[in-house]
Amino acid sequence: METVINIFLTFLGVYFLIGILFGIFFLFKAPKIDPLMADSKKKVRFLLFPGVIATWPFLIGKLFKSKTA
Amino acid sequence: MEDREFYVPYIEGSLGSKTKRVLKRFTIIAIGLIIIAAVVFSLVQRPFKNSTFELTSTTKITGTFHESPYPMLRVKVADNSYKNILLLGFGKSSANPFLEKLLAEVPHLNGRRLTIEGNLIYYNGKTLLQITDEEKVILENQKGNTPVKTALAEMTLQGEIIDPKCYFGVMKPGYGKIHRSCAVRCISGGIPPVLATTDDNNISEYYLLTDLNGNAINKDVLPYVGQPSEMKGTVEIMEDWYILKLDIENLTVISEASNIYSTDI
Amino acid sequence: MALDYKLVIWNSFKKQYDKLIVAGMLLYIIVFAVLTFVFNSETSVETLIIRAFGSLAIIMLHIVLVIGPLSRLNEKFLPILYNRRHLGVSMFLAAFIHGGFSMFQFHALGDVNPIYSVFTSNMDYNSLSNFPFQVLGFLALLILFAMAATSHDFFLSNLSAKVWKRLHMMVYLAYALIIAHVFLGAFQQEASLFSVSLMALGFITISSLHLRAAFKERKIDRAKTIVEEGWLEVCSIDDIEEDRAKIFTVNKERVAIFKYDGKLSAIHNVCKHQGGPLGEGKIIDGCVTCPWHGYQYLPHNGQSPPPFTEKVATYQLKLKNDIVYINPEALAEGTEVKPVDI
Ligand code: HEM
Ligand code: FES
Repeated sequence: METVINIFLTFLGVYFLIGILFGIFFLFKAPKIDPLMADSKKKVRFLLFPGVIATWPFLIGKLFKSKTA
Repeated sequence: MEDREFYVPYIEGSLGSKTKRVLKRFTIIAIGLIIIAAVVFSLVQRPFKNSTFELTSTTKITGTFHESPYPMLRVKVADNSYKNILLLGFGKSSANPFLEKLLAEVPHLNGRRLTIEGNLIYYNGKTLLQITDEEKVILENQKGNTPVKTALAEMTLQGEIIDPKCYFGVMKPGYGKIHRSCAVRCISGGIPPVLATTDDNNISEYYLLTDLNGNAINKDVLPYVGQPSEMKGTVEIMEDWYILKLDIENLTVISEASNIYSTDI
Repeated sequence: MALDYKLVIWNSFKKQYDKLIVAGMLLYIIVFAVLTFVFNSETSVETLIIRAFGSLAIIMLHIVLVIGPLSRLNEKFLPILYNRRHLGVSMFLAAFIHGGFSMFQFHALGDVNPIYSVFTSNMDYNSLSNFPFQVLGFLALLILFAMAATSHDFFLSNLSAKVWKRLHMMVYLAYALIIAHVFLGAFQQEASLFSVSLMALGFITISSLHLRAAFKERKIDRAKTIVEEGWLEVCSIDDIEEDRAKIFTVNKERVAIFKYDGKLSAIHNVCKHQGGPLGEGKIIDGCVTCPWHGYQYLPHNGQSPPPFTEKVATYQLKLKNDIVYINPEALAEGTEVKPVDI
């Protein structure tokens, strides 16, 4: 059980760490993820920050797609 | 059928009267539910103990320091009557880190008189003192006597291993399943483990737990903390405290509810 | 339906709604605190906060969970659904205060990291009555966090509606975890006939409302349609009200057939916003208007009127002797279809 817990908590820690890094990136470069963000107020980025942390694996792909498109 | 109401948030006045009535009824039912739930959840709480933790005020206490094996301060309360105040650290930790600075100067603190300023915790005749600042532990010049331990008997006791800091004041309830994790943290962090028992006449007794050699037993008891258990060992009396010298092999968790649940008001 | 993202798109209805949420939460906390201080005055403030906010959160969760089926059963509840998002976020905040305080009180200031302590201070994972119930609350709180944090249209469009919907369906998992958290935790030590009955009643209410709503929708999916040369016979023209729609399931997809201005048009039933049932909407100013938050689509091509860009699939219809037939093959989203004249 302890190994399961350790693996899970390590995973959770890494997930949130990457999430926070990605979230900080988002605070500065939000339009790279969604072009609509360019026209939105800056405050909106702070409101979205926790959600970006929680769902970064689904958003990070946008970064590469928007480059090729 | 033609006047089926259709609400569009951004169209003023589209909230029809029938819809309004439904919303009103829903709101009233929700408020009723809120009140009923608040009444139920607040009134079903078991009575809390009148234990006290003086979080915001400090008290200065002078007494004789001894480690038996847990750090205590022996204080005279009347002629030939002494109280041994259990010393604790900040949060879920032992008093030892706060004594280290002094120990560096005076390696043998046993029997030395100290004045300590800290937060009192007390309940049912027992007193504990939380130290939060090593600067507030002051060495006095005199020496004092340490208490004598007298062996009483081999006994089998039923009760629950609690962390005395929470049980005697900091938390309510400071025992049982709700509190178990916290008690584990406290005892793991160095708070002395104590067995709380209550007999049929509703008299509670408290036993400081040690191993057979009288040393601290914190790590060994962790899996059993916060659960009704039965244990066998040698009981000693040390003025106002009992000590139970325990071989961890002689401890079993029992399935019946511990009666410390029902009787401590 | 957005050209940029706002913090919150406010209107007077939402403001009133939010005032009611705050008032309700305050009412709960005040009644709980006053009764506790009067009848159980030896409480500690920390315990009061932990218990008041924990029980408040689960009450709010029940309210959140009944809104969905209620508005599927009776459209007059729809305005409550409209701003459910704020109710959900408030519920998370209450749960967070409870969980955060519990973690600080019971697990912080110790010899290990508080989160590690939540998982390891009690290792009786194979016992029911001794189970480390805090873990269940922690997992539920993670789910509620992810849901509350993504309660914004930004996430709907960027996570894709499917992922977003899946994430938000996890509220049922969170509900199950919380029920277990309470029954294996507080109720092991502080059970009372009243509190257990209240929880049981809550569970029965939520599950029976969901079952009733599911039955209602199954009727639509199970309705018999007759196939004739690739066209499905769906209903008589009189079955559809003016400016409204009827919903049918063709090829396992729900389709809304609208009647307006002496014409018929069919579009996919699922709103691009949060999947609201367009067929329960209404034609307003010539547009299909979603009953949930009012997104609009033109019935003849499934496109949101400019400048908006949402598109849903459209379907071909035909009319013979006042009987409506539909071609079950969906056309690409936003495809123009000439409406059928009645
Ligand atoms: C980190 C997460 C959590 C922890 C550590 C935690 C811990 C606890 C603890 C220790 C209790 C017992 C408190 C007492 O009776 O004195 C409790 C009770 C309870 N918890 Fe949680 N909890 C967490 C998350 C949640 C969540 C997310 C909810 C619901 C939304 C919730 C709802 C409740 C309820 C309804 C009770 C019983 C009533 C009460 O005593 O407050 N908990 N929780
Ligand atoms: S679901 Fe939100 S407007 Fe349709």
